[in-house]
Amino acid sequence: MTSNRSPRFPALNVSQTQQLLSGVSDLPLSLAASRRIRAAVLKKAAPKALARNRIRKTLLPIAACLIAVVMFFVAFPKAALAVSEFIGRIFTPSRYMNQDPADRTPVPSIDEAIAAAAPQDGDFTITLMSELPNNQEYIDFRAQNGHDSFAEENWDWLRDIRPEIAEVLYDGNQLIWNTNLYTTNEHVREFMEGFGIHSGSKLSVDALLDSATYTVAGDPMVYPLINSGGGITPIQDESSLSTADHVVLYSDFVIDPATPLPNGVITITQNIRVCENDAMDYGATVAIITHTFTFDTTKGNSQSADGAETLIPLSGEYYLTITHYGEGDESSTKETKKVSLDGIKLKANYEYLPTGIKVSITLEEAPADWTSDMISSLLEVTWRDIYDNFTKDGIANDLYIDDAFVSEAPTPDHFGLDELAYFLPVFPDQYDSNPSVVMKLYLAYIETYNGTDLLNGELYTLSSGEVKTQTNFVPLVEIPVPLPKN
Amino acid sequence: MDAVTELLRRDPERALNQMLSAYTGLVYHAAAAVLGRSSHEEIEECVSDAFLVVYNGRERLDFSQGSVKAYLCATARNLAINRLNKRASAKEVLLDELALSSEETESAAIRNLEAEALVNAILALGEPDCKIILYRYYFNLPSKQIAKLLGLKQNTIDQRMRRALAKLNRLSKGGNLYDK
Repeated sequence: MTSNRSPRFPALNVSQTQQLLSGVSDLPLSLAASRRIRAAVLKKAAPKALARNRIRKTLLPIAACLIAVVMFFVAFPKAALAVSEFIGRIFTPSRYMNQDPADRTPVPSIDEAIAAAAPQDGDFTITLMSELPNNQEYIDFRAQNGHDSFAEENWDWLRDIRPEIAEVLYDGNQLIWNTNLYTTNEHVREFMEGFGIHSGSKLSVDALLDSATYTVAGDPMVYPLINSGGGITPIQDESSLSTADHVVLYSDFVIDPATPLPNGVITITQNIRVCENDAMDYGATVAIITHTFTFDTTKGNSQSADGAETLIPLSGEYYLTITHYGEGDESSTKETKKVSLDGIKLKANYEYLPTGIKVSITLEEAPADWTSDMISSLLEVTWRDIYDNFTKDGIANDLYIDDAFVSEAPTPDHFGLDELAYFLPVFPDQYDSNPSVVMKLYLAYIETYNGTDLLNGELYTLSSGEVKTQTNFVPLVEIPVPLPKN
Repeated sequence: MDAVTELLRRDPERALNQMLSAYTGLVYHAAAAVLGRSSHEEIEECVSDAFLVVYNGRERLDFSQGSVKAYLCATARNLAINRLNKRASAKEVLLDELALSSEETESAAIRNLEAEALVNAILALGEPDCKIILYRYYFNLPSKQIAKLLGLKQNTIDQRMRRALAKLNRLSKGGNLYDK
């Protein structure tokens, strides 16, 4: 019998819920709803944005130390390579867009994609904090966080800022734009205070994208964009800083490749929060800049070539570190044991983008006795640290072009469960010369975990606290990457 | 402590991704059971808020009381109940909505039992009846979907559900949970 009226459980506390749900795994949900929820949560939590901005701001003060480290490691080629990757040798579109165009090593296909976006500025407004309709929130925030009262005379100059869209890069997977904020050199220096460059001013200013939406002509809907990172780009050398008349605000966004932006010209409205002190570290909002611009998505929505897929059969016996995820009150454990990979088939999916080749590796087939824990453990991502060591288990991927080691393949800014995804810095203008592009996958496994000898059959029960591992790794498989024929 | 809960302390960003991959469906259905399945936007807001509450509260939540999964479902349900209460105060209940069907008469047992006793009683039903009751009344899934999830026929689900409810009903009236 069906009824619209839902019988209800009484309110349950957490431990009662825990008892009731032990042994219940996830329930099915439509992909669209899952994606909407994921996007909404990540937007609000914005952990990557926080990390990225902090990394950028931390980079400058430690740059001098790194130079010394580089000088030391040049005698040890592999370690030197690792260091150079750490400070920026690995190519990613976000790094490209973070560089001053004059300093970039040009990538023609990316430059074409940037040109094709053809952004055009629209209107802008600048509203000081005292004029914002919800200004009481900001007044309270200042009081709660130990800021002096908002003094309009200190911030009146913000009314003269002029935002201009500088560059847009969109490839159907990634959306990045840079906005120039024009002001006087004195105020540019105040934007650099957060990077440890002292201006002598009493003000330290920052800016960060607060929200962004897009609209399409003829459609009344306003669509949100999900911001995944951003911040002001530092101007590091004094000669550039001495003549700088603007700062660059970098912003990037999550685009679900399954639902790319609509084709054609779209109108973006971005709200930029200007803050006193670090915008991501309790900075107090002093103004909101609302700026509109348009750009063309058409070229970004077309791949440089049709995609491709290959199957990768695995075989042989390998040590695999397996994380057994406990249900309910059960603890999770780690073990390392020798398993046969006979019957495992991976699938590699290739997308040919102006910004590089996106490779996504997933499981295609596994023998019936492979558990989901084993599959997830096999498809864990790992990477070398700057000392060329692995600290965790999983698969690492070295990229070789024409038999020369290029770098570890950079992973994109998302974690797919049971998916290995990489962006290879191989661009359409290189396809004609038909280089051999090979991904060499390595499988790293843990020998000892906090002193527990996993290699000799001991089981480690996961708990909080510091983790110290001793690892080893072996070559797993080589994947030749097919290139499109132009 | 399970792996995701452990990871939430050690590597929150990665844990958040794993939580979203592992529990979005479960949390969604926990909220949907309270709000009704037509309120997509409200349900999704409750689910998003539940993830944020647990993620942002990771330093102060006592995970010895329950795992991330339990916190997420309990939070989503509470948020949904709060919304329902707001909605109820703005809307009169129609008389015919109060007429209980036969299944609902029996399910009144679920409302009449104290939470702790109810949880124990449901767990004592054993498999698969425990899951059938949980899916039907906690997650409000239709019996067709429960049949699919448990690999049983829909008739079997309906039959077992009636018997399980009867057991719970006897208990709510002071009887013995177990059939002799």
